[in-house]
Amino acid sequence: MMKPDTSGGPWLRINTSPGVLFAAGALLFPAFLMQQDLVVRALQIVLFITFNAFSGRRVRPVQFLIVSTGIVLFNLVIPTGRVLVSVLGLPLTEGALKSGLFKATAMTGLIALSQFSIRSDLRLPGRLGGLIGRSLFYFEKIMGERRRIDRRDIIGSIDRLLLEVQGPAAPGTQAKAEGSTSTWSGVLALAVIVCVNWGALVVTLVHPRPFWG
Amino acid sequence: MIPKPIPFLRVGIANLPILLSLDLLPAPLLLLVVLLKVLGQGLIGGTLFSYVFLFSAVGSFASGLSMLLFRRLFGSRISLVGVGVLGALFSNTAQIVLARLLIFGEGAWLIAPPFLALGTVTAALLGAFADRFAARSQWLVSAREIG
Repeated sequence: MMKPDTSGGPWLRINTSPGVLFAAGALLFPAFLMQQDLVVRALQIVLFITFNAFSGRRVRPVQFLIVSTGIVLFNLVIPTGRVLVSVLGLPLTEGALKSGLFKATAMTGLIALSQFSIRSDLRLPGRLGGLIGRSLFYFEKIMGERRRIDRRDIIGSIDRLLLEVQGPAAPGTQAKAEGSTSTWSGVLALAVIVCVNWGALVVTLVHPRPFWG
Repeated sequence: MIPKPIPFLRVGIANLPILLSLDLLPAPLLLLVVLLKVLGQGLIGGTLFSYVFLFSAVGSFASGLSMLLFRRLFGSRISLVGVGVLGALFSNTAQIVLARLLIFGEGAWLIAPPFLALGTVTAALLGAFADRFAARSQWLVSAREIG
């Protein structure tokens, strides 16, 4: 644990380590996926998107909206349950709408949750973790030099880049990245969020609430 | 680097190393490269806890296993274009089945024709690029010598 860092940068990135964020994401994952109340799910998604902003991730609400609309529309194609309304002679059914909304919120919510809780500097333990670290080291080196790829000689320029990159060996241990340790305030914020989400799940399981009808 | 025409739709550039590794690595190491690709994409894109990761894993392993099988069965009688197209068909079919189960329901069959067609075209282009790269690359020559 460290003292709170008051320097610039996204709050969540500065105050939480990749490992603690990963653990919080793993705890939030079942609490979100098992949530059956659509309104609570929508609130959870708003919370996850807010956390994305705090972690410096670019939030793309339009992309979420396009994906969600697509999923709902595809589910409406097959009518199931009570007809709510007819649009241009096509029945809009309750079962299909509920199913579409559940799947759309699951898709977008898990993406939002995953994006704030998984950081690219997360180092997984063990031999596989080491291999992933080395792969990302080379990936970052290539991406750092990508401007050198020449459109007039794509194959030749990529080949030269690969020959240069394969030279230096990947370091066994890497320098600590920004926010590689957690502060008390960061851990506390994540603990509160995890508890609130699990609390909401318990409440909605004990007192299920009908959405409509 | 490459823009996505539709959210979450990928052109499949990340399959290029897999295609090039087909003649370079034994089967277990090739599958390890597939695993590293899937986990690396999940970490960089931050999708490890989402359905996107599941789709990526299922598609990548379906593609990797099928490409490996066809390359081992037919050797140089099948080009990287053919191997890539077959890999894309297996990958996209597996992803459509998953989409049918998890997201779109029966409506998933509606996206199947354009999804498969687009996947075939991009895979053919990527395979053609891989064929030309494999013929010209000095890096591949040095990698073969190391291996």
